[in-house]
Amino acid sequence: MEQNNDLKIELQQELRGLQQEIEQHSTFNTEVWRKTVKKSVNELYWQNTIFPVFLVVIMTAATVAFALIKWPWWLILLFDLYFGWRLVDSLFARMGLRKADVQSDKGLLSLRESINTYSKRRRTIIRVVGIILYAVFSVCLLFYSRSVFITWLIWDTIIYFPFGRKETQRMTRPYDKLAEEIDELLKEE
Amino acid sequence: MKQKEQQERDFERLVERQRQTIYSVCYLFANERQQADDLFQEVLIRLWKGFDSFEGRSSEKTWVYRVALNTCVTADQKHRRRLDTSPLEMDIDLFAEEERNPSASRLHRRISKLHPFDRALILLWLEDLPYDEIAAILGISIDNVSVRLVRVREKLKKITD
Repeated sequence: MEQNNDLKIELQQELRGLQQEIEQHSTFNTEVWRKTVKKSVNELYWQNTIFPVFLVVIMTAATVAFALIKWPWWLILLFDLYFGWRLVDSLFARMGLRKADVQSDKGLLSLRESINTYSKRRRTIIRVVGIILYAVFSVCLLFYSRSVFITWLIWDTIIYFPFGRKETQRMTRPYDKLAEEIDELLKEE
Repeated sequence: MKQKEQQERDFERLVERQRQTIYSVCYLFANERQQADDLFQEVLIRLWKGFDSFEGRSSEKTWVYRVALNTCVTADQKHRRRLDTSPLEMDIDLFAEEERNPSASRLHRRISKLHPFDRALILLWLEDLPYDEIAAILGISIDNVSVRLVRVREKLKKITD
């Protein structure tokens, strides 16, 4: 017991030494803060917003183009539903990430729980619904026109899908990694 | 707009008051200057993002400890500064000041040998926080705090010997 107290007192003295050093030899530069962190937060905001905006632009442009070339309304509706789901998928990934950032003041268990609630579970549901919509849209397209279907496959499977998937993964990977790390940390619980 | 400016000023004052806590946590979780600066930026971003929702239910210092420790414990060790963001550095290089303040570097040497989660636990213990508050900050049970503390103190003793 006494040994524990000695150790605590010794470490506390070292901590006070560190805090004194900080107190005497540092200042918080408010100007730098204003210029940099605010800018960083804004940049992160735009980084997180640009992809969903990009999806909305593509969706709107494509809808107008399909209407102009006289696609049947149900096909346009299916396309919009599928793309709408992709948008929701990407938005939820970002929402989860933001939630984790904001919840930094919670304990690790609540942080872990929020990652689960706002990220993985919802993302899985959204993904399954997305796959179903993708399949329905593709089959309908195949019946409508074989050449349009092939163009769609080239666009979505080769060009858009890997890019979109990579983008969502880029956003969510650190988040999933964080969940893994917290699980590791709490393993001893 | 005025409200926003007021909020910024309040935040700046808070960081000024809690500078010691933020800097020392970042220093004790880093192995080099660059890493300490990265952690500092991340902690400040998270404090700023959560500033709105801080209702003052816990003390200001406890809240800052929560955010700083959770950020540092869960920071990916390979992770560098967020891409495309402007740098924000601590204006003191504690790694270069070792000769001026040997006790700080001695503390760093000892603490850095511990697992990040245990570092957080020891820091809160050294601040004399009650076990229930430590448990609330780290998100573990009170029993777990005492069991872990016994184990970490043993580890520290071995390091010291």
